[in-house]
Amino acid sequence: MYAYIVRRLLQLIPTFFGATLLAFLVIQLAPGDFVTRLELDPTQDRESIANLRQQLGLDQPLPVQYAKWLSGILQGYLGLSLSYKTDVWNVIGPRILNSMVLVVLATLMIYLIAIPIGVYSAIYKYTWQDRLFTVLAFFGLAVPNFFFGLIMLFLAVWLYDLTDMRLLPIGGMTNEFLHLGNMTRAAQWFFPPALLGSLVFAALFWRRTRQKLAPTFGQWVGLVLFGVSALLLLFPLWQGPGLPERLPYTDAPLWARITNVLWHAFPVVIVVGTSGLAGLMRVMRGQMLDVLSQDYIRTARAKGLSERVVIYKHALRNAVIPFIAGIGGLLPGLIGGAGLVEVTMAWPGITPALLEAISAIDLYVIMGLITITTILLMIGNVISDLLLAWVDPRIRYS
Amino acid sequence: MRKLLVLGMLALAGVALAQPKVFKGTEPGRAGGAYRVTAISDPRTWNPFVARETSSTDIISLFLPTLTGYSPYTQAPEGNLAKSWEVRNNGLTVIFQLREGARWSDGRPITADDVVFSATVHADARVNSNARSSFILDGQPIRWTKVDQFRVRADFPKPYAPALIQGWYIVPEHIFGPAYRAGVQQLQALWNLDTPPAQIVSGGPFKLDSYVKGERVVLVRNPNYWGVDERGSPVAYLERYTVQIVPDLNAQLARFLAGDADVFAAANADQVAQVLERIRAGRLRAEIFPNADVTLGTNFIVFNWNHKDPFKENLFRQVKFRRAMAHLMDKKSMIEVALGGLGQPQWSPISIPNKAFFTDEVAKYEFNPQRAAQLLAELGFRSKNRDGWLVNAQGRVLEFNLVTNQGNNVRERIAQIFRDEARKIGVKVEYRPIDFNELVRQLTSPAADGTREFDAILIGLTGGIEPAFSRNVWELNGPLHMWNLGVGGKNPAKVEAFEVLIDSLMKRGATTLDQAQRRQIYVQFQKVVAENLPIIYTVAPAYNPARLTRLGGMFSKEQVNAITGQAPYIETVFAKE
Amino acid sequence: MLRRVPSSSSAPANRSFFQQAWLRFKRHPLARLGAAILLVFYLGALFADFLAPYPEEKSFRDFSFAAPTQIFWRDENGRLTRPYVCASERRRNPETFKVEVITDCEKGRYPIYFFTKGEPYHFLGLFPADLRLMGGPWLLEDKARLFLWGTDDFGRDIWGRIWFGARISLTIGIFAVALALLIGIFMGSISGYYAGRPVTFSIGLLNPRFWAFVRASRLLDHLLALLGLALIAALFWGMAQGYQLYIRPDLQRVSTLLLGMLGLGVGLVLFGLLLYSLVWRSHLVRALLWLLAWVGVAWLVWITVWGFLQSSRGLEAFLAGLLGAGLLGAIGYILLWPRIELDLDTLIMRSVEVLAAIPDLFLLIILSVLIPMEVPPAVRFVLVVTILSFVNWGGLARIIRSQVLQLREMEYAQAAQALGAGDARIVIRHVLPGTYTYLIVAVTLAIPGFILGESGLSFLGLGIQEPATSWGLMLSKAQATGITAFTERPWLLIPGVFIFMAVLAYNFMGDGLRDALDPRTKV
Repeated sequence: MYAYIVRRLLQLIPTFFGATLLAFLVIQLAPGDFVTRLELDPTQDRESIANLRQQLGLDQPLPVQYAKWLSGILQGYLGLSLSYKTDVWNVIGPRILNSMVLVVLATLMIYLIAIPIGVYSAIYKYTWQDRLFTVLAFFGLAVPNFFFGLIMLFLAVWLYDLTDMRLLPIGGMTNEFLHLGNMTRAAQWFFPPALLGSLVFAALFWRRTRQKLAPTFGQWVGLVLFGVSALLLLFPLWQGPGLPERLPYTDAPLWARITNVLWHAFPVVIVVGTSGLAGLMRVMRGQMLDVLSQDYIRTARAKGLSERVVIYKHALRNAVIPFIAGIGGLLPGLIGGAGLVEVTMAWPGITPALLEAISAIDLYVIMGLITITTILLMIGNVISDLLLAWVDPRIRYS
Repeated sequence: MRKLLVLGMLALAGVALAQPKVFKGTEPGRAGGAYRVTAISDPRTWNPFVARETSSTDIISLFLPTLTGYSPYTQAPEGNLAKSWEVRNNGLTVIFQLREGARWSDGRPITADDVVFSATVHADARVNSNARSSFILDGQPIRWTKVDQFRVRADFPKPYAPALIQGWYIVPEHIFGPAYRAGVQQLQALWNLDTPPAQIVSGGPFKLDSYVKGERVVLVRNPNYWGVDERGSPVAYLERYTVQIVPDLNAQLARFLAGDADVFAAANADQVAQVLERIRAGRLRAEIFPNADVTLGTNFIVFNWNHKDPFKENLFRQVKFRRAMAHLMDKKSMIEVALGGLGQPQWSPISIPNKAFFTDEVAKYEFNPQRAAQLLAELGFRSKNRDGWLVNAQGRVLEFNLVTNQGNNVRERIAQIFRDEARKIGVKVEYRPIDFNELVRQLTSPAADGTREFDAILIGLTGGIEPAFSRNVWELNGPLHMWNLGVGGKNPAKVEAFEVLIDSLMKRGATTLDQAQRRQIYVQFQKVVAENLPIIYTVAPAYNPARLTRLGGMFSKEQVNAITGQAPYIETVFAKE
Repeated sequence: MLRRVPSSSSAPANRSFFQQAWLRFKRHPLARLGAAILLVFYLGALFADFLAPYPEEKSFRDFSFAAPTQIFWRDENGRLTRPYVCASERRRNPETFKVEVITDCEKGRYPIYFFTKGEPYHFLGLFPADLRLMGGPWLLEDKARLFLWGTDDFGRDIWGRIWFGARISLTIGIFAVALALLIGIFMGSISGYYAGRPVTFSIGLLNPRFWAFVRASRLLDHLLALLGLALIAALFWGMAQGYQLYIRPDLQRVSTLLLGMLGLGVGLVLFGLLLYSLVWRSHLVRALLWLLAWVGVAWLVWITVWGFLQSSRGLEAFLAGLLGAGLLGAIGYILLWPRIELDLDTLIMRSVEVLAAIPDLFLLIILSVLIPMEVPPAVRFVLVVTILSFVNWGGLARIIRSQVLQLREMEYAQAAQALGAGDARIVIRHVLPGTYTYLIVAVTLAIPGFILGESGLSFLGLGIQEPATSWGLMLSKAQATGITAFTERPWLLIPGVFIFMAVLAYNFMGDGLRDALDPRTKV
């Protein structure tokens, strides 16, 4: 196995060169460069345009440009952004982090919802619940994210009209000023039910364990959700009354800033999540259906194992093969951003920056992102191959 | 005691502002309040020598001064950092007198050294500042020298009409100087987006307070600013100026509708309707002025006179052909369908808002397919072939490709409307959107023999207020002489008489100093262009500004215009509540 | 080998696999519903000219964004009558700036006739016809307008364009999915099946094993291989002739192009079969082929280095020369001595990673520049989709591979191998069926992506161009209108409803298919 891992890691090197060279070629072969758009500016003359091209090194032959870029990469430097005149990492780094907030939350939401529903739909195949989930999931898939984001924005305006309260944010990731007073009052309202909820679930949890039974999935979710919200609400309860009514974002305490970002992320995550739900759910359902009709499941049932053990221990483990193969794609997906919805909802993620870089042909910003994505994809694939062998011992690579 | 202190401070302020600029607002204002605007994209830099796009310069202009600018009321030159000027030597020399006592936000005085240094750096070919063209006149440099601490002198190689418009940004020499002397790279690395805002020195009405990437830029009032209002109290009135970055127009509208942004420019009638509906429902205290003006941007079709196919080259050079094409433009439809209901037809190169030079008395080849067909018949395209396309006696089909840059909804629709109308009378127009860079390449890069490959391109240029700044388009050897482009900076091989006339008009316009004479020249220029149609103009989108009523110091409905915007000066805008 | 017992009687237990599958499919109510919906859609697409009152490209620019035409059922006296429409006019309200359609029955009432004469068209592009579902003489004379589902920005009838758009969305979108799927399955199954079993690619000429390898096959094999090579040459010659004679003169038409693609596909499959069944058996021919491949690589390296040396000097030239010499030396060594083994899995999976780095948008921009203007939009679209499929099969291939890795170890696959079945047979008959569930789900999930994504291609000038249409393009118009599409003109969202219904229908059909193909499901 170690030989396999070493071999896989060694293969990263030629793959990396091939991938970056190909990407570089494709970008450079497309017409125009960073300077092209200036050519239509009536105030620019030929000389300064030629000057600029020369200064940015865009007039040099392709191999030379690639070699220069590569030597930077080997020193751990992603290059200088043409339009920002600063290190590419400074341009994309903070935005990747912003995007990750969305992607991580959305991925969590997708997995937490899709897998149980997929399993449920497989067990209760062709019941009305199964069909309802299917229709809803495909609705999420068929509505373009961009559109859904727009609806969310105007829903926020409409709710504001209706209640005179900012229940949903109107785009963005943070507010310029945080209304700490409102937050504290809201916390005072929400804390008792959150506490009550967590107590109830804790009691259920406790009863279940005392009966020597594993707690159900619903109990887990309920306990975590209520527990975490109760814990989070403690902060404003404790600190809030002493703070001024309104503070600029940068001066506000950490809990307020996190709450603010989460509040802004909520509608975006819903939008991103719904579109990814259908895929995972349907695949999960299909795989479960396949596995549930296998002989060993029948054997397991015949042995008198409980249905839960059969499903979660025997069936699920074999049904997740396609997901594990897809983990390689999940890792670069984390930094790839949430797509156009970031533009619609003014989320300062990587997508708007990438779109701008593409339209300006800011070569090194694009290459920087491709480089990181490629490396993550390759590492992700190694991991998922190893996981595959781990989940199913029959799988072997040599 | 308190009173004494206030008096003392006022006196101090008086000393500091020995020669302040008096900003004449539309109404008396009061200090304090915040102003929130939305921008479509992030700034790229705070460094004026690196900045190339309006998303950066819109913000830089709030904290770096210029020598002069346009008066928002008369469009005549007006001093900013320059208190006054003196034109000598038949206009070959201008001496600008700076405001004594003006200070940077770090307390250092703004002097002639700063101005001359900024001019030197902008003019340096190695720096490649976007403003470099302001320092070169027909290939010869404009020389800037220091006269004394508060006077600078500009020497022009020939008389230059826009000599008084010096809109390049002046930077503090004590910060940029050492970096410049260390090398251009160091200079360009200064004041990038990762520079802490506190280090950015301001000489304008605001100074940078904070910047959150992808979210907002916050500026606060610069207490050292060299401006006062008519009552002598310091401006800017506003305490805080926030630029929210919202990359989607619909999202911008949502922000305005929710009252989160103070100003908004509706793109089309649908957006106007939404704002109006909300105002009427009493949910938004705002006002909107639909169709108040048209924007400065233009959209036009240009034909290729350097075509490798001699038949097409000859055809495109026929003024009758171009007039026929102009007659095929259903501008009413274009306004309704392409511009979304609001806009005006454009007939000549100078934009309608540019009152100082614009004339409406030009030849207008209005929508008239019959007339177009008749003109084409005069060119020999009398009969139609089996497929219904016009052919000449030799059987050549009248056909051409029309391209525009993809992603521009307005242009794509204009092109489609034109294509539809042309096809109706039998002109075989193939339309396709293509990548912007490819379009620019086809337009500006002739082959070695001087030919270019496109047939017709629908494109636009951003207009300005000064016609002399578009000389690269109209002069024969200009790099943007799009219809008939010369190779390597030379004149085109084959030139029509009217092009020579335009060329000489542009040259005269740029060197004539008398305003009335200049208007004469540019009026004639517009007439020649409208008559000969080297560029066939289409429609200009309307300017539909909206704003919350909580703002004061704004223009009235009659005064609002696309050039200045909704307020004469940002310095005199204030919050009523 | 096992021999199949011929099924003689019609006893239910003896139905063939596909008969059983069909029975299972028929018992699936939702699958039947999905099939029915799709049938309606495809028929609608086929008879779009008949269903639409106006031709596809007809626009009424003075009726931009007009609401659905009001249809009246009662006459002035309130009695039921033949449905009719009234003369109408569209304007923008100067007060509210909203679009209004003013219907004035005083100016004229126009009864709607069914199965009536309309504007002439060519049914299926061949037969001249003028029968249309709705209309009347007034419609031809343009006295009043009939927009069942309103109009778009150019004042085109949305009802009619839904059916015209279905032609693109329900065919090419599916074609794209199918193509990517084929490539993905092929690459994925090869990759998974041969993982960890390196295939000999070449052996050096001086290596004793080379001669052992060549002598391992019989004379008959060599003769067969020669026959195979001759057949392959004939096949290529035939394909070239077919292209020259039939396809190239008429590239403007989609049908010709589809025919050409079909021909290309069949040709490639034939080529593969000939290569696998005849040529591959002769080790001599294989050896010659790999020798040829290495010489080709050497030639490429030589050309590249030579070109580089011509245009550079100094250290750069020296380094390039050194590198080139090294590469050429390595190839020479490979030709002479070692045995090179290739793990197909490694090769394919690393290619997936390399291909994943290609920025699609730039690839598309390059394509948009390379494809000449004269190529009609539909053809351009097919071309682009094909090229994209050749780049984007990676994700699917990886997942198929992971399942094949698992399935090839199953008892039945091992048993087939023990029985001496060929690799191709094991993969196709025993391994791939295990991935059907995943494949069907993946296809139904990919379809909406392609229907919607097609509008993105149109945006780059690579897809369907106005005035032609597709559902994705129509929905993108609603997007361009922003929130007004919801508040003022919801009819712009109708294409979205159709996309949703088509996706669901495909999905239900996929469910039915999955159950039908699962032999463990009881009939």
